[in-house]
Amino acid sequence: MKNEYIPYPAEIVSIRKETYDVKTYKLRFSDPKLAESFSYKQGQFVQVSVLGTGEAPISITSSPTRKGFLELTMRATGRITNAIYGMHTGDTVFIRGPYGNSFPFKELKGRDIAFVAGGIGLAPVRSLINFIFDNRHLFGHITILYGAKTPKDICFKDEIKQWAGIRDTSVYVTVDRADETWRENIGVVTSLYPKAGLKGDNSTAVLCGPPVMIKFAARELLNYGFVSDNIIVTLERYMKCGIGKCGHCNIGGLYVCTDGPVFTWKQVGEFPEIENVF
Amino acid sequence: MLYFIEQTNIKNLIIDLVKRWNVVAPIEQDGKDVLLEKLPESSEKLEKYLGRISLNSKTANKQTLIPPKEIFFPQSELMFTYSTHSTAKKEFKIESPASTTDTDTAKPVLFFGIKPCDYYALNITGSFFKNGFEDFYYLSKSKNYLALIFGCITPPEPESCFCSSAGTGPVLSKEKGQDFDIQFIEENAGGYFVETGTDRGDEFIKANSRYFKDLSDRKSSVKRLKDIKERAFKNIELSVDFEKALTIMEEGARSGDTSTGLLNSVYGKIADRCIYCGSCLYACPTCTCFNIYDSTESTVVASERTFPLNGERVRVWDACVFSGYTREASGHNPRGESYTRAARRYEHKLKYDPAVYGRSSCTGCGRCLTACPVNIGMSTFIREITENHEK
Ligand SMILES: Cc1cc2nc3c(=O)[nH]c(=O)nc-3n(C[C@H](O)[C@H](O)[C@H](O)COP(=O)(O)OP(=O)(O)OC[C@H]3O[C@@H](n4cnc5c(N)ncnc54)[C@H](O)[C@@H]3O)c2cc1C
Ligand code: SF4
Ligand code: SF4
Ligand code: FES
Repeated sequence: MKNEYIPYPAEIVSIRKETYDVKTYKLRFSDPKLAESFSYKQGQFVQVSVLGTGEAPISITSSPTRKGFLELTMRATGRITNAIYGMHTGDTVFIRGPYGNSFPFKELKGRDIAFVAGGIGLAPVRSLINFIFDNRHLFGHITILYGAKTPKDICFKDEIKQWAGIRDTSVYVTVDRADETWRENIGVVTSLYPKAGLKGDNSTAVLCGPPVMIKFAARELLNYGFVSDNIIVTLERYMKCGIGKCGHCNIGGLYVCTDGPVFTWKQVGEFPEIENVF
Repeated sequence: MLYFIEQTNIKNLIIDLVKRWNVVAPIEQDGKDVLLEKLPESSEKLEKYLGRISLNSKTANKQTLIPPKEIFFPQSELMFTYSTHSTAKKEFKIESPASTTDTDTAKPVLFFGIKPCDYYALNITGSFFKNGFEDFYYLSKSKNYLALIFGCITPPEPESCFCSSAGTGPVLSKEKGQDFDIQFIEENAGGYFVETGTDRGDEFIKANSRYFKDLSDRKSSVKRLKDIKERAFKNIELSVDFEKALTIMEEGARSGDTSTGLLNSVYGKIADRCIYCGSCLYACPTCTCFNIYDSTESTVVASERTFPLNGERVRVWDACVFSGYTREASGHNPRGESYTRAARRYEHKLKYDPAVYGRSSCTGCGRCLTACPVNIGMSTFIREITENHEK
């Protein structure tokens, strides 16, 4: 029987600074066999340990189509994420996983897809975005709507520019508060909907961001003709085990760590009322 | 099959069993509380335990203060030890205790004297930890365990026990479709009827045949056993309408139903009185929530980690009624309001587990009521909702 709770060493191969408190870490398992065999699906997460400090769930932001390494993007929020923020190339963290369900491939194939992401919420959907671009012919028009608090909070700046250059793809970025350099949209992410010409037919929306953003962004999509089956969100809950045992992430009879973190807006609507998800 | 064992043979049987099993029995403590303890193998040490085993209904039939889950899922449990010398140099080691051979777990656990309700509880926690990802620690500790059930002729906690309502006790019967390997039913001070329900139970008897007398063909014994069991049911003082409670909870899941309002008002009332100590959940034999933390020799402050660093990753029981249980790193707390936590505790047992597993995870053991400093318990909750539900 495998002991799922044991994490495995992974070396930080490179670090990219995204913002003043967010970095993207490229990791490779120290065991070459594991580095080779580790496979995951877009939308899954891992449990990252700093021995002596603890463990936190972090989404895999790289695409499974790009093999041999793993990318995680983390905001320095608390003990673990700050400990990792202070690490250097060549340092070791400990990883177990991958866990959780994933963005559905079959349901997305052949459709137009609208991504709506806020802040560091772009990290988990980036895995799916790059997966789609690596299989471009299988999908329709791609729209990426991204909102950040200020221009300084925008993650993946270079990549966003790159995406905008891919055929049949539109990218819109907005900030809540602008500075003097900002030339693009100002306002919450839903203010991009009219500009992007969102339409519900043959489209699926994929949302990730802070709870309030998800709530308003999803509700507003309904006004643009999206049905709740075609709105996909990824949820966050406090997690300890990641494998459906510790109980912390439960919502009704479901566990966000194993039944999620990807849910349809329809499923969210069926969550018990006492679970104040947003 | 039906057998009989003389009271005087119980001791000798246990002395034999400790050689092949990791025997766990209810042992009376100095303050009269009863706790499950592993019996030592050495006959000298064992002698000290034998006089304090709590098995008989007339003498000391007490419920164990801490439920049997602790044997496979201890209150605090070492997951692995780690040692690292620096993050950069690849000098680190992770060692899991259960994977290196622990001689104690090599012998399977034998519960000598477990109440029917707790036998059910072990089945429930066992299937939970096996479902989906397998829980290494619980499953390696519980591998091949056997439970010798001792039925309750009189309830140990008459004001709290409501097993007959929950369908888990006070004694089990194959005729009711209840599965068990072996059940002991006290006949009188002189000995116990022993019923087997499976091949495994029969094999156990065969392996220890010199202590058991076969009564399977004796009609009078079968009749006498039936009478004793009926009496056991009559001795249960607390009964609640468990089935009705399950129906109300299920209806409450459909919003707008009349049950929803009733449930919310009961959750609110409980939330006002509950002091959120978590005792009910630690005492509950089927609560399985836990927290995980790292405990290190040196004090570690955020990113300033000092090396070398040696420590343990530990898991400890946790409880869904604590306000920090669902608080996310962002500060957002989906169950910040106290009534939502009260609701979770009851809905998990009476609504979601029935929906997911096809049976409630409340066994009616009554420990939550016994443990509660403000007198809230599952039975009081069930009475509250069933008695105020009009229809
Ligand atoms: C499925 C899933 C995927 C996720 N993916 C990502 C991801 O890709 N990237 C990402 O960045 N996050 C992600 N998260 C969130 C991330 O897991 C949490 O932010 C993380 O658990 C924080 O861990 P921590 O130990 O750093 O924080 P904790 O130490 O647990 O901090 C908790 C809170 O306490 C505060 N705190 C802690 N220590 C101190 C202190 N010493 N002084 C003052 N305040 C303190 C912090 O401000 C924080 O708000 C994800 C979560 C889930 C459930
Ligand atoms: S609830 Fe029933 S089986 Fe459990 S201890 Fe009480 S009387 Fe015995
Ligand atoms: S909820 Fe109370 S009565 Fe039910 S199993 Fe748990 S402790 Fe026993
Ligand atoms: S994180 Fe432990 S059950 Fe989901």
